[in-house]
Amino acid sequence: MSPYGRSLLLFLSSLALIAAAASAWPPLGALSAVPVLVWGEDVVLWLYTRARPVEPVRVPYGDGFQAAYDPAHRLYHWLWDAEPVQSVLGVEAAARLHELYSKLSLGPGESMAFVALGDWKLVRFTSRRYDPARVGQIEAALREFYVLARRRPWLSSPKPVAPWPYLAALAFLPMALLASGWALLGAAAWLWAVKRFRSRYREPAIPLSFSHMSKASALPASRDMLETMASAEAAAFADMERWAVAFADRPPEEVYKKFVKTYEGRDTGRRLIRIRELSEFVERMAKYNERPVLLYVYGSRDLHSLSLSRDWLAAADFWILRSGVRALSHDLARFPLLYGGRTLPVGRELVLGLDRFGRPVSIDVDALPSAHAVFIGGTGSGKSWTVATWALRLAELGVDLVVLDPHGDYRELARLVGARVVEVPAELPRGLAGLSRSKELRAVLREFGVEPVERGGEVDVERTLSQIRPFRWVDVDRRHVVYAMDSIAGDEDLLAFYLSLLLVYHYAAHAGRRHERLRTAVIVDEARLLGSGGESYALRKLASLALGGRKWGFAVWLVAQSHDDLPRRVLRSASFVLIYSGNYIYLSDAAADLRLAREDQVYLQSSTTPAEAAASSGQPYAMGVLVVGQRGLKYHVKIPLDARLKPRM
Amino acid sequence: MSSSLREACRCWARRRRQDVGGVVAGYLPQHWDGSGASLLRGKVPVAADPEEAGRALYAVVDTPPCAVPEADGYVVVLEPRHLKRWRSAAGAVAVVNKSLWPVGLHLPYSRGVERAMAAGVHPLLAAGLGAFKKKAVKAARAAVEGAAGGDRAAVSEALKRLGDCTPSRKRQAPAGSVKELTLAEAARALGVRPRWPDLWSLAELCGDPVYCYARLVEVWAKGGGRARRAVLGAVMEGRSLEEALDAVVEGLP
Repeated sequence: MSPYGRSLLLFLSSLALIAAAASAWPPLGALSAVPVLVWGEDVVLWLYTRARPVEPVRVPYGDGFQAAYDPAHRLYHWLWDAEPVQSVLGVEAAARLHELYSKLSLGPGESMAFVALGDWKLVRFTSRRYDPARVGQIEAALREFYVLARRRPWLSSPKPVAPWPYLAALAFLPMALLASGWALLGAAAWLWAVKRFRSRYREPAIPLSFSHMSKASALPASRDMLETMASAEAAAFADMERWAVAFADRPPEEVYKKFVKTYEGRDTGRRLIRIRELSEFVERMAKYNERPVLLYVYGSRDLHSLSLSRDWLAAADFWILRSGVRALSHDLARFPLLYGGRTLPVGRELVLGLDRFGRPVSIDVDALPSAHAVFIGGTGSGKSWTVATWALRLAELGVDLVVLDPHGDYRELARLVGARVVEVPAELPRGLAGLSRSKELRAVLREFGVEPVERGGEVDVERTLSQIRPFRWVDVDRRHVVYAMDSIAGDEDLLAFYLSLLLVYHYAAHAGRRHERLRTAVIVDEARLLGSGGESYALRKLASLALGGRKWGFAVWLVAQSHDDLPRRVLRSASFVLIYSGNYIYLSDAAADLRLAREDQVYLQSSTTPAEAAASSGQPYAMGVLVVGQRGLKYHVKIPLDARLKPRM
Repeated sequence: MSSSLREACRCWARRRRQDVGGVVAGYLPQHWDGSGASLLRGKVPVAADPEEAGRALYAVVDTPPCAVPEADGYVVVLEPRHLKRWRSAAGAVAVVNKSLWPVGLHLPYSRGVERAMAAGVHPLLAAGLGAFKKKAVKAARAAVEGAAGGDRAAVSEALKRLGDCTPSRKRQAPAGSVKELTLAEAARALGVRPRWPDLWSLAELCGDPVYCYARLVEVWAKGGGRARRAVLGAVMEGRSLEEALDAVVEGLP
């Protein structure tokens, strides 16, 4: 039974006893004030939360990293923004969470809470003592598992609770009439209890409170049950609008008492059943070194496996933590505590798609060490469409686009962003003429066996390139440019040459000018063409771009059909990699190189193509596994594609 | 205009209103004595012309009978003396104003309403008048539910038959002689329930809940995760929700 239920039962049964006794001797009716004084606050709290949520009053306390202090319950709360440094769900996370729990070493009166409000994640440390040094220790332990940012204290709402509980004093009238007039003292005590309740509690806004709490007294101890249920339960929580779980150490004396009580019970049958239950508990402790914990579970939706049901008491209990569920430390894997990490908001947010729970997945292009990306997938998987969709969003964020487009797939993008379309090879940017002294140009010409036309010790760029195909110079005077090469799409050697040339040109244009913020994205479609015939000069230059481009304000996005098309160091330096589905043989081979887990492969094998998605739901989607290199965060994403980019679909 | 084109225009107008979202708007033509609609000033957005008012989901339009705007349906408010000349074949739903007898959909005559109007307070916002408000809400619901028809030309023609475009004179009462409720209080008194109760519970933390609620709906619809986080963060830290909303809305695309 929960502590509130127990208080209510004791309150009502005490009043019933006093009423019975007072009918024999009326002055005993005065004792009706006693249950009110002892359990009144719990009863008023229970009564009020049948209708509306409440939370205890909290005020800021301390200097520096302030806490929110609850004077009624004498609790201090410190709060951080927290993004997990890895992305693990279900029982896979159990060992890491156990490690986190052990490193925190929570003492008596201390607890940790993990809170998710939508995709906003927070961590709260609660203690009965104000001890900044201890808070520092907790923070140091958490930093191994989360990227933390301190927050100002989470204060209570200013909205007072309504006065209607005063009316419940009228319930003492029947007792006064039937048993003893002294029972009116109980009514007076009730009025005082409500007044005190109103001074200690406030009514929070619903988006910042929890409507469901767990009514279980203990979680099943079976390890098999944990391994079966953990992923499903974690997914259910990740899907909720808001949820929280707090955990604290369970006092060892309590565990010992339970063991003694079980072992020394008189009823043999019941003793055997209890021993059987306890043996699963003990087995987990022995085999996995788990520790007994108390979990306080809150959410915004029912979840039967954890007895999570609707009760506004959750909003208050979240702060005072009285209704705990007995469990073991690996049971923390039932909650997505290490899933769905994101970059902290620093600058411009690029929304990429939706994760498996329908929540937006985004990256902060100014927070990452670089914005280089690699897109790997077979034909028809939606690579170019995805790149164009994201490029459109980048343009809205103020990033200039340079697109090297061998097959003319980005013309619609050019139209939408107002890009200059340069029809290669008939047109070439005038800036190329400035590479006459460039060793990079000479290296590319040499690689492709093009004899440079010299003039005064420099390369006459115009005459040299005219040998290959006649062209005219064009001015690229807009923010965005698309180099469309579909007129030579059939000649891969020619494509490779012009791709290399333009890549080297843009490298020369940007490299060396320090600009910490991302300004330009260079998108190279069919990057495999750069590597045809071994590792080309352009690919080596690309690797330099990828490794050093961040400080020069540009990013390179490479689109390839296979990870083998690109040098490993280019893959290693990518800030995010998007892997689409492919042939099942390719996926099995690529799994090891791309570090794809079994569930990633299963997800990819069940992906639909954009054409299938458009046919079935009207909205074209691409599906893939997105790995954000910064913290190894991994998502199974669905990317809504912009239909304007493929009007014929 | 052909019927298929008219239907297409209506569909387009309906979609536009849905795109813009549900807003109540008022239209006050300068040349018309809109003493009834003028009471909405400061309470709901006021449109510059019937077209703009038509972009709201529900528009209160106080026009003379000779200037009926385009709409999907019409609710015509008649005086009792017009009843004998009103042709229901026009297809609009008629509500009789200041009716002494129960005549179809009607608003009862109430001296309190007359006093409020004369004092410049909208009767729905005046304190008291509980029975009138209940009747008004019931009549309004029935009228809106039935107002899916009505041809603009037919309604105009039917209205012209009732009288000319000359406005009648109204007598004024001293200001302050009738107590005015806030929009939030009036909404509660009228039994209006917010479509998003979670956001309303946040808005109740503001001095002007209706203003904050409108802003919150906009932020939640268009703002994304960061905008919501900024708003919730302000509430958690005890800062002004109005200021946070204004700052966030300013930054919205």
